[in-house]
Amino acid sequence: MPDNQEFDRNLVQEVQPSGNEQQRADGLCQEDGAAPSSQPPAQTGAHEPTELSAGLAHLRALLERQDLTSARAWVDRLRQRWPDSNRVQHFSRILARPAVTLQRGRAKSSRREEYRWLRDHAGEYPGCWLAVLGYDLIAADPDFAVVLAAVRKLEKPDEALLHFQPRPSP
Amino acid sequence: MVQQADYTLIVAVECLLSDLPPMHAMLDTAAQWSLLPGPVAQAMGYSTEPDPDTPRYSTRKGSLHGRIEPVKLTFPAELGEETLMEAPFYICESWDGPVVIGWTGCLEALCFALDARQYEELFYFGAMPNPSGG
Repeated sequence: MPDNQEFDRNLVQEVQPSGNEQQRADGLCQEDGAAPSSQPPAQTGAHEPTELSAGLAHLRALLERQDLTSARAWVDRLRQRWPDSNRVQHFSRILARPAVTLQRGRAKSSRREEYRWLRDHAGEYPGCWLAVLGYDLIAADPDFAVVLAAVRKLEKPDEALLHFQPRPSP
Repeated sequence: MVQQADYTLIVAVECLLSDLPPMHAMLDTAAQWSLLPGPVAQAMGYSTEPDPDTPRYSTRKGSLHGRIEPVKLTFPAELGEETLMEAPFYICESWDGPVVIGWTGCLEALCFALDARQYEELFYFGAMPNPSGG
């Protein structure tokens, strides 16, 4: 992990006005994470909002390039630098490696009848949300809220299955 | 852990999103993010206002701009244990497709397999083994 001074240099490099976002992001993605040595170190604390914005812009660029490994490493560094930032905390949370819990709950009932109805009829409702229970259609509407309201009126809403039927590809 | 899958969304799996009733979602191993249509997100109480810090998301239906939020996700099982996780979902008001189960923070954390034989259509899933062997 680079030290704080190197991290600050990275952020200074990020906010240089020349070059487009991609070029700036590329400049920060050298394997060792080091910015060109000609960049002066930032004065810690003097430009934190700008540096924070630059750090988040770089994170956004990494995610747009689908470089998840680098994005996770970067957000860890942002979190160390700005532990109290709500925006950094948000991205740190959504990029965290997920924890999976296994739980022996109530066994889900078979959906054989719902699947049979969908095979036979779902194609008749392109672009609609459907609610199916057994071999019965409960509701069909393009508006999800309408279908959800119909399901919530059921005695056991959790027994229904919601399904979106896509429109056929042109 | 076994769950039946369906074919109408190519591969659709049943899941529970927060407190909504059971729902089909399209399983897409090529999708960077799981994806929520705006109305589904709103039903769970999430804002659909785009977040300027959130990257645009390129899909086969075009480039989307929205926000990413952690959502409680459960895969119920017909056999064995259900799987619970908090997965990040890209929320976009203009997405007019199904709920999508994608890679980041979701499929990457699961071991899963599909049996696509007609009328079998099973989705096997479980947690990633602990690398320490525990």
